[in-house]
Amino acid sequence: MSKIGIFNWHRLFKTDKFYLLVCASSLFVLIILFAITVFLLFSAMPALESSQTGLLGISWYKSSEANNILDFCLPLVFSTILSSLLALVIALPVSIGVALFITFYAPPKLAAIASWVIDILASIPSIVYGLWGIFVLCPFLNVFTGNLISSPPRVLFTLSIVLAVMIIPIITSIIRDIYTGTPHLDIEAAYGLGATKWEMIRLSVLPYGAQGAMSAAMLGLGRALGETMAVLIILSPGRSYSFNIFGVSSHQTIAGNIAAQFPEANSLGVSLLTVTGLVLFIITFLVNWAAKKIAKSGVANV
Amino acid sequence: MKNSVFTSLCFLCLVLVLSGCSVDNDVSQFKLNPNQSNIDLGLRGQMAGSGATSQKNSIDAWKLGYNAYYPNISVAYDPKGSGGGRKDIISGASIFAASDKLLSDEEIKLSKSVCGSNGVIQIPTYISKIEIIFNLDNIKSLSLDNKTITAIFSGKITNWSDSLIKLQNPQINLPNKLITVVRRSDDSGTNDTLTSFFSKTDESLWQWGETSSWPSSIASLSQGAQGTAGVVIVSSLGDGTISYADSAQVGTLGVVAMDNPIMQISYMLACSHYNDIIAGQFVKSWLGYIISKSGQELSHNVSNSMVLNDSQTNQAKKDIDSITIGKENV
Repeated sequence: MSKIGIFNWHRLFKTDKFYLLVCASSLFVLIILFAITVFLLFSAMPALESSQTGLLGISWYKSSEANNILDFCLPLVFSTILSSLLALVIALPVSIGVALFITFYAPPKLAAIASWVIDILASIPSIVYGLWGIFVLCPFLNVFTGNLISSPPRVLFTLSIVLAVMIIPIITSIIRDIYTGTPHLDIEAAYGLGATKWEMIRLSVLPYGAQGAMSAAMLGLGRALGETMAVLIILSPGRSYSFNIFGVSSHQTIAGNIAAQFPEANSLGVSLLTVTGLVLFIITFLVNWAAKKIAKSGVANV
Repeated sequence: MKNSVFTSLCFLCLVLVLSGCSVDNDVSQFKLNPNQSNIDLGLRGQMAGSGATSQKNSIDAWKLGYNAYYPNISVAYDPKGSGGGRKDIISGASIFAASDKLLSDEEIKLSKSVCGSNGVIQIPTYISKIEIIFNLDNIKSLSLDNKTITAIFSGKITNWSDSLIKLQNPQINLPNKLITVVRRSDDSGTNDTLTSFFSKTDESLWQWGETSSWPSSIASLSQGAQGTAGVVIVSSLGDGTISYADSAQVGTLGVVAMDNPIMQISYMLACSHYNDIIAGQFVKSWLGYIISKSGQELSHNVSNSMVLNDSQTNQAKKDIDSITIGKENV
């Protein structure tokens, strides 16, 4: 009777102050999300409504030689997704490996230390990763790439490695928690059938954690998509749909482009950058939605 | 202030790298001892300017020199590139600007709405050399003729062991190494100077004319970096890189010996009229100091720039005198 809709109105009006507080907190988050959406839409409007001639007044739009806004956004979207997916391809196997090691192989003391190191990695600011990328990783890769590609290798490949290192902690810690929760019965059953440790992991742990791992991967992907500082520092910017991840000046991500052009942007330029920001917002929203969806179906199966 | 973090980082690094040739020392050598009567304590405030990265070193020195006369003025200069500087003064976002390139007619017209009926005035303040710089192990100097340089930057010559380069440097053991061109990715006046030089050298090699942003059709043959500091840092990190920078900022990189130097005139931009009395007085005294003998010699000392000749100085003086201050009577 007292429960109408999602709120427990009875408790609300019976001055349960704590209940009021937690409701207000969650409402606050909703309002912020709404405000960001409205802000993006409003400030994107001038650019969306502007004619090509108007947009050509923006120097960096002009030099991009784009025919319209879509034409301007798509190479950025392409590079953003390409770099993030590549980062994910590198990060996911490593993360699963680390998580398995911590949960099943490492002696308890070492596992604790490894977990702690992973958490430390997660807390390093992205600009530090960026500086490491340009001052350490680039010269290091240069030793191997030598005469094959432009030197220093400020290319998408290098960027993806740095992005991978950045998202490994978050993916690892989620997967670790899931693997820890593998039902003991499953594990015992596998061993009961005479499975080795690897076979036990393959039969019990990996299937149990598959959905969770996918969902963790999506969250990592979300982080890689929006990364700015590392991109700005490492990548030599360019515009193309090239799959050549070793090609210099061929890629630029949405977030990197916003950071690079913002200081020089007039009001229409800022609006155009907001359009690209809106696109990024939609992409990350979809990725998170997919993560939720996968996680949910995982729970349903278990 | 609105500088991208990468640029500021690069500058930070560059300052660290260059701290060996400490600006302070050079200033103290030219320590101006203004008479007590020359010091103006009355003029006070914070004055903002922005623009060319090429003049940055000299502006840092000029700030100190100027403060000997006007200790209560603090000058803030944002080296965001010539294009950004021109935009700022046209829109009224800054009091003065520095640019490696003269304003276009369009820009002059635009400037008339905020800068008085005569628009922006442009005074040459900094004449310097653009050096072609490179990073090759154990090689500090190379000679290349104009045509070879143009061919390298247009992507026609891609290896250091190219026969044309070898021919001009018989005594040097050139490595079989890819040439990486590093160029400015921002809207840069140095790009204008350089591309105009390429264009004049050989139009069939360099087909893109004079441009402040690197031609997009050959952009993927080279690496982009922001600001003079950016290209210098990327060049030092790479192996076999070639780039260009104001001679004051080449750092420890190798320098190409050229047939004839690429000179660049960089300008200070100011309004022809200031409604704000303090801003007007500041600009007049600031520019007056920069073109003065001591200002120019200071710049020569820190940036190796050329001192303005007499006719340039006289013209500049006239232009500065023509700046009007106060309520405009239209």
